[in-house]
This record gives sequence, C-alpha cells and structure tokens, in this order.
Amino acid sequence: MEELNKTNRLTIIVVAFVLVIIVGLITLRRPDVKYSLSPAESLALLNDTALVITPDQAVALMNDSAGKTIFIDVRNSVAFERSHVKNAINIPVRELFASKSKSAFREIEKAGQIAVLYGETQQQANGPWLMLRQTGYKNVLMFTGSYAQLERNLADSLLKLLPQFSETPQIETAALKLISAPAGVSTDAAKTEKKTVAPLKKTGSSGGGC
Amino acid sequence: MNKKYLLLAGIAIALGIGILFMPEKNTEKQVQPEQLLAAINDPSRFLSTDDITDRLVKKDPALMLIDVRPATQFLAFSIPGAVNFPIDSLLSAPTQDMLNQKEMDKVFLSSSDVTSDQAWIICKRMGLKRIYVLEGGVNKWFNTIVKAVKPAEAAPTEAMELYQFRMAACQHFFGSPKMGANPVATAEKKAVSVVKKASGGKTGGGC
Repeated sequence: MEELNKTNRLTIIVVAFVLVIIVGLITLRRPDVKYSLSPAESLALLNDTALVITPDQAVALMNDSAGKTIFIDVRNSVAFERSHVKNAINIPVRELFASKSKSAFREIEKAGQIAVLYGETQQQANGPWLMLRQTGYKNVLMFTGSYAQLERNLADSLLKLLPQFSETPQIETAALKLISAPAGVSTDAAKTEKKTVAPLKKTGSSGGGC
Repeated sequence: MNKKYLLLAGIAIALGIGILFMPEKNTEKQVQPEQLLAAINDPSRFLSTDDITDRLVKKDPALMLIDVRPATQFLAFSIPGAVNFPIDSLLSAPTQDMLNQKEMDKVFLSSSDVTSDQAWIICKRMGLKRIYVLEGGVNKWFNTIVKAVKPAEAAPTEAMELYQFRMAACQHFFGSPKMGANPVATAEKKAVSVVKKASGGKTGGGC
C-alpha cells in the first residue's frame, strides 16, 4: 500500500510538471506577429520605387473600376468619416495588427488585389507600410502624397504645386543665394578697405613734409 | 516499478533538453513588431525645428544631426552642423558606431520626415536608444528659419518672439542676409570718414 501511494504521488508530480511545461511551450512560442524580413532587407525596400504610388498614379488607380486596388485609410475613424476615398477601408494605425485588420489583409491577398495605404500625409502612412512589409505582407504599397491630393477638393493649379514625393527638397534658390551671398560680399568690402588704406598713408606723409 | 521510474526519468530528461533548445528563438535583441508599432504611434520621437535650432545656437554638445539623404542633396543645402550618413549605409559598421554613442541624442533628418522616420524605425527595431526624428525635415527648417515670415500686427506676442528668435538664429548661422547689400556702402563710408580725418590732421600739423 505504501509503495502504491509513493508511485501515485510521483506520477502526479511528474504529470503536473509535464503539464506546466506544455502550457509554457504553448504560451511562449506564438508571438502574434513576427518579422519576415531582416533589417537589411527592410532597408533595401526603401529604394524600391515599385513599392510606392505617386499622386498621379493614384488618381489613375482611383478611376480604374476593375477593382484591383483597395485603398486603406490609416487615419483615425473621425477623419475617415468626414471624408475618404471611395470604397476605402479604414484601418487606424493603432489597429494595424488587430485580428480584424489581419483578416482584411488576408482577404485582399486572396483576391489578388493590391492595397494602397494613405494617410493625411505620407508621413502618417509611412510607419504602417514599413511595419506591414517587414511582417511579410507583399501586396502593400504606400501613397507618397497627402490626402488633399486624393480628395482633389483644391483647384487643379494648387494641386499641381504639391510635390509627387514628400521627400523632394523644397529649397528656394533665391533665398538660398541670399544666405550664401554675405561671404562673397564681405571679401569685396575687405578689398575696398585695403584700397582706401594706401591713399591714407600718402596723405599722411605729404602732411608731414610741410 | 523500476520501468516506471526509468520512463518518468526519461521523460523529465527529454523535456529538460527541450527547454535548453527553446529560448534561442526568443533572445533576439530586436524589438518585436507590436512593440515597434506602439513606438511608432508615440509622437515623442519628433523634435521641432525650433527646438533643434535653439540647441544648435547654444552649441549643445549632446546633439548629433544625421542627414540621411544622398550626398548631392546634402551638399546642395543642409542644416548647419549636420553630418551626412546616406540611408543606404545605415546598417554599415561606421554608421552603427556613430549611432551607438550612448551620450548623444541622435536626430535623423531628411528633406521631409519620411526617410528620416524610416531610418528611425529600422534603428528602433535594432534596439538603439536616444534616437529622434526632425519633424518636417530640412524643408521645414529652411522655410521657417531662413525664410522666417513676419507675423501680422495683430498676432500675439509669442508669435512675434518666435519670429525674432528665428531671425536671430538665421543671422547666427548665415550672417545677416539683408545686410548683404550694404557692406560695400559701409566700406565706402569708412573710406570717406578716414580721408576727412587725414585732411584734418594736415591742417592741424600745418604751420
């Protein structure tokens, strides 16, 4: 009887131990989202112009009714309700990895469609795009303009002033010349000063020769 | 009974070996995607152009401005004091050495804040600390500091003070651009006044 009790206790302890480890394995081994690109591969994405959509391209895609492109609005729901691209889906940045968003992306992938992320500015869509790319989504493109260029409420002349890429340098050459000029002008001033010094000496000596 | 003990011991040992092999997957130093997304949602990494300008004027030694644009754009115009590390070489050893300096605030900047934010995201993923992004980038810096716009008469005092701060900063970095037309005139004035003095001395020294 005693031997039986010892065996029972031992069995119970070992079974409990195994259970704890199995539970630990299950809970530890599944982070919901994992990277599928290394940092170096992610860096290589940034050069690829095929992964972004310019405002001109976007307008063409909006007019194309074949349904191959789905626009995804990453702004918050208030901004989305005020106005959004026709047939766009709202996935705010915070909810990017939520299960609802994941199923939306899976559907887009299954249908063979392309997702174009846009925000109020390119800056807003930038983070989500890079995160989605790094976690393995391959059909996600980033819009390089601001929402104003998609809403097209401004006059065409004003829209043309907005750049195709946010990262275009906008340094006005006239203003740039002004701040680079003083160096050139001051050397001229030094030269004129030197010229006036010489006649001084001459007048001084003539004054003393009297 | 012996067999049972052996079996149980065997299971325990096998599990122990399994535990040895498991943690390797989780000891990556990288920030996990969900945490990185939370960091992206936190706007505290953005530093304003005025803030950076103030620190540049005061010659803050802990500030490092890193221009991640190609060299051609950097040479055309960049913020005074910035160093150029094009984003293509972000993960190279020299750049990483620069970025690993723990006593400095490293501020990424580019024409806008898209490329600089991309650099920030990748560096944040690798676990670098004290990294920031210049909000608006070089374009905003140029258009607010160099092309500072005088506020209307009816604007509040703070707006006027901000304008004066920006004008003073622009003069600090580039000299006074509006005076650029005058130095020739002032030199001529100087020549005229000195000649007068010489003639005055002449009359005084004359017999």
